[in-house]
Amino acid sequence: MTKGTLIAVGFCVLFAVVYALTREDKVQVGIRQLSLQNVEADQVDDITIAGGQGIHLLKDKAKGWLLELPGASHQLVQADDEAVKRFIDAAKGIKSSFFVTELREKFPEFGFIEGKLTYVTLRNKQKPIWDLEIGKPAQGGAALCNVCWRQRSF
Amino acid sequence: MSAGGSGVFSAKGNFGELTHVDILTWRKRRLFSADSNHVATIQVEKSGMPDARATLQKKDGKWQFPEKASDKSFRFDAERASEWAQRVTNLTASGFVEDDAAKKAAQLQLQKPLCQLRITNENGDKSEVIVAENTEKAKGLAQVVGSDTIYELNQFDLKDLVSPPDAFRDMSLLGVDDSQVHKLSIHTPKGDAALEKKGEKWVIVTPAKLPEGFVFDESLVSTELRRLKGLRAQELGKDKQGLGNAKSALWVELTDQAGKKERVTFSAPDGDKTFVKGAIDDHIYVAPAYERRRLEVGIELFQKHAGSQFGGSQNMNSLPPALRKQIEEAIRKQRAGG
Repeated sequence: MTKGTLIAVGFCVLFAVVYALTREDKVQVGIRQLSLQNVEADQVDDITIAGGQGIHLLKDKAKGWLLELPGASHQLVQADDEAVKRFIDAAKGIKSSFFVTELREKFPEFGFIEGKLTYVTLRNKQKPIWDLEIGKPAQGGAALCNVCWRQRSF
Repeated sequence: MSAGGSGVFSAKGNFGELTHVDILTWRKRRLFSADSNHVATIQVEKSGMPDARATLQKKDGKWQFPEKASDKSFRFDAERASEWAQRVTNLTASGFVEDDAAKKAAQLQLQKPLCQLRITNENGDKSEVIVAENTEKAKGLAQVVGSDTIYELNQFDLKDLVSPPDAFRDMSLLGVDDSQVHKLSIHTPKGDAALEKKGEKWVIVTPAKLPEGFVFDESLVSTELRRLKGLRAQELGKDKQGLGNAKSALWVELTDQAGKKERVTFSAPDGDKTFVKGAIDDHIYVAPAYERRRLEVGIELFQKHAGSQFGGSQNMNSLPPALRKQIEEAIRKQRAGG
């Protein structure tokens, strides 16, 4: 093999490597945009689970977690700290998720149907930490998983 | 719904379930904030009842019941008392009385309480709960003194709260050390059975003639002794409750090596219960009828189960005999082949 051929092959290999890395990077960036911010229990001071029953929990510095009762009075009662802790722990776990699809026509299959969705928002000082739409329980290939979710834009 | 340029993900864990739980799950339903490990005393004061006040006190990590300490007829069970104390400290409401009309009615019922519960923590903090019954809804009502919230309690919890002092009563019926038992006798209206320990082996003394095909399983003797030792009554019988006709009674007698005998006698079953008299005290207790019924078979209690030679599969006994025979034959052949 001549020196020129070797250089040409070397360039080809280098180009292929750069291309592959660039390509992978683009896909990862796409996933990173959807990845969730870390949830630290002490940062969360407001939880909303909208749709369904409508749950609103607020953290009060003196009284701890409070639950807003449904109805016009917006009465606040003591929340179950253990239930809130379990929820935030579960929210931490959602970070290790599997990508399912980004095809919009597939969304209804996973329970993302207008009017039937549950929205979950965790906030810190009124700013969302993350804001998710919850679909139906995962099935089939995702048997190890039990919830489908999408990030909402805010 | 905004797409947000995002895709669908799926995640492990119980997050999905938790987003769909009932609002009641999010609400604090425990009546006492005390940590059960740091409770010093629990007092239940029942309204207008005998044994109106029962106070449990924890000393050196063990529950005591000073009010009955000098009552020889009351056998205190610290373990049962501890379980009761745990349940009371962690008492959780089944719901809340919310609307104004229901609250007014509940307030009236709470003015005629069934009992008052007082918990004192090791640090001296006290809390008090008033408990009443909502007879219309067959539920309990509870209110922490100093709070407006009215809780609903289920019937089991309500019954449990007013159960002392019986909740602390030792319900065992035999005090003998089962490992020291030398002779076991069972008297049933249909006949007697007796087994005796000769050296290290149990032998059948009565009946002299065993039923046809009977195979003795010695290991069932110690199983039976452990079961009798663990036998617990459900409740104390009512005053003047007797064991009924002596002819229909069934008794089990255990004799230890020193010749000391302990007998427990069961009355004829009355529905799903039987009245029991142990040697441990003079009370008549109520036990489930199946405790007597299973002893009625006498010596057959120690019959080797056909299934036990096939990997101890006692479920075989519940199969129809023909099918059981077929399966046993198949297993035997398989073993012979293997």
